[in-house]
Amino acid sequence: MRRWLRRMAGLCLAAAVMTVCSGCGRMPSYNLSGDGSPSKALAVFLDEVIQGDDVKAKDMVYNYYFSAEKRTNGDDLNSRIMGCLYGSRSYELVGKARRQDSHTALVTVSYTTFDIGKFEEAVTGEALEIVQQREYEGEVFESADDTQPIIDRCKEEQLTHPEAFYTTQRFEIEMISCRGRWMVMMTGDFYKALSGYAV
Amino acid sequence: MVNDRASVTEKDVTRDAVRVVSDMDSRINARIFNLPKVYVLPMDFEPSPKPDSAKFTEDTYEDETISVRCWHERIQITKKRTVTANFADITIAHPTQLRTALSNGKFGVIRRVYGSKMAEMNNAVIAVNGDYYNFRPQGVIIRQGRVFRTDPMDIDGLFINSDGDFVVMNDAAAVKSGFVEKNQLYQAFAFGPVLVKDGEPVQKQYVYDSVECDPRAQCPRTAIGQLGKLHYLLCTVDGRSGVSMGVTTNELAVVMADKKCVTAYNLDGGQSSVMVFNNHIYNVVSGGGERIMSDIIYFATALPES
Repeated sequence: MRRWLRRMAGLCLAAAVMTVCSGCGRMPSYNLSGDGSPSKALAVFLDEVIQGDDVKAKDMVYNYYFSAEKRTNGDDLNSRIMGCLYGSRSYELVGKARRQDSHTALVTVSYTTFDIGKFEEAVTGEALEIVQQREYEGEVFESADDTQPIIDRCKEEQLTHPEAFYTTQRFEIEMISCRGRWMVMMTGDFYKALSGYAV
Repeated sequence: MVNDRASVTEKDVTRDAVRVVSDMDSRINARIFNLPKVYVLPMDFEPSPKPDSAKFTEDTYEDETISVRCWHERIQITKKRTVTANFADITIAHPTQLRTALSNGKFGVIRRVYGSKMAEMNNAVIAVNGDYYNFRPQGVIIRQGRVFRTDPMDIDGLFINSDGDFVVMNDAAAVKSGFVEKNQLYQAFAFGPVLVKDGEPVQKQYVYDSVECDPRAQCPRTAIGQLGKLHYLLCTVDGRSGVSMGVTTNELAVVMADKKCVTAYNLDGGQSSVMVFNNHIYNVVSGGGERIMSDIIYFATALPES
């Protein structure tokens, strides 16, 4: 009898462990505010992205192997552009999380970032204007070697006011309760914003 | 641990951003080298590129760098007088396509040449007579960016700058104020009077005695006007015939203003008045035939000859 009881207890324990470890077991209830809330989880995730903490952030996305590690190579123009991206990121949670069902919730966030696409458009516009004017004056541009100094000059010029390329967008993020904690369900649009609209 | 997630796609925001930033220059260069080509003619007295003969119609020529439309028009000047005017509406891509030619290609040469001959020798799409500069020893003369004469006549001068824009002002004032010296001018003409200024016809109340043909007389006339940026109007009015007696300069001013010129200027007239399109004389020259002259104004294609 004792052996039978021990066997039953073992089976119950194994079943409980399996339920938890099998991923996204049903949570009968959860708090919408406080430390264990979906809003707090999204805030932690975005803090990690902004800090460039790859290890922590990658474990907080439900549907991707995710990386946001900061990589800087030096003082060259491209590194400075990346520096603008890193320095621009900020967010603000909007309102309270809303319950969707027993294991998902929606959190609205306003996310601000340096918009690489907008920056590129400004550099391109200025470079085209200069090249056209110089061609108009008789200069001939035959290869990228001829245009590189102009492109670099335009980048330098636009980098003097990076705030002009900040973009703020509001997202409704689905948070999923999985193995007793909240994870971010990444969307294409939100990922695009996190990459500085690079994709 | 991640194996039980719904998807295992790998996403790296930093890698994506770095890739886009690294490729930025090549994307910008692709757009730069896709720009429409700008053709610039040297400001010299060498002949311009030959226009493509296949692109001429009876009254038009058009390629990537120039558009010309010519037409004849009967204009009623007074109740009893109607004249024939010949117009050319011209748009060019670059200021260097508004050019001048000198007889024998040199300034001050006594030997004069027919306007049609000069137009043909310089591959003009369209041309008109100039100011016949060597008929008189004075007057500020700049041609193809070279200043040939700065001895003013105290008359209205037409100055064309390196943007192709017209400036009309008294030639003595232009010299005295340093305007001629300080600005990059491509052309300057000494004839006049100014016909249109700021879109309004200029009506002279005095005898403008610096022009050879009395401005109050009904004569064949030639005028050049600017309609807008790199957009011009040439006009010759036939004269001294029963069909078309000609116009006074005040009347020509009204004609040019009616055609929406912002600025317009009277050039040499009388028998000098000639318009040449596709190497053919487009107006009716008075006095039985073309006169030899010292200079023309012409518009050229900038497309290199293939």
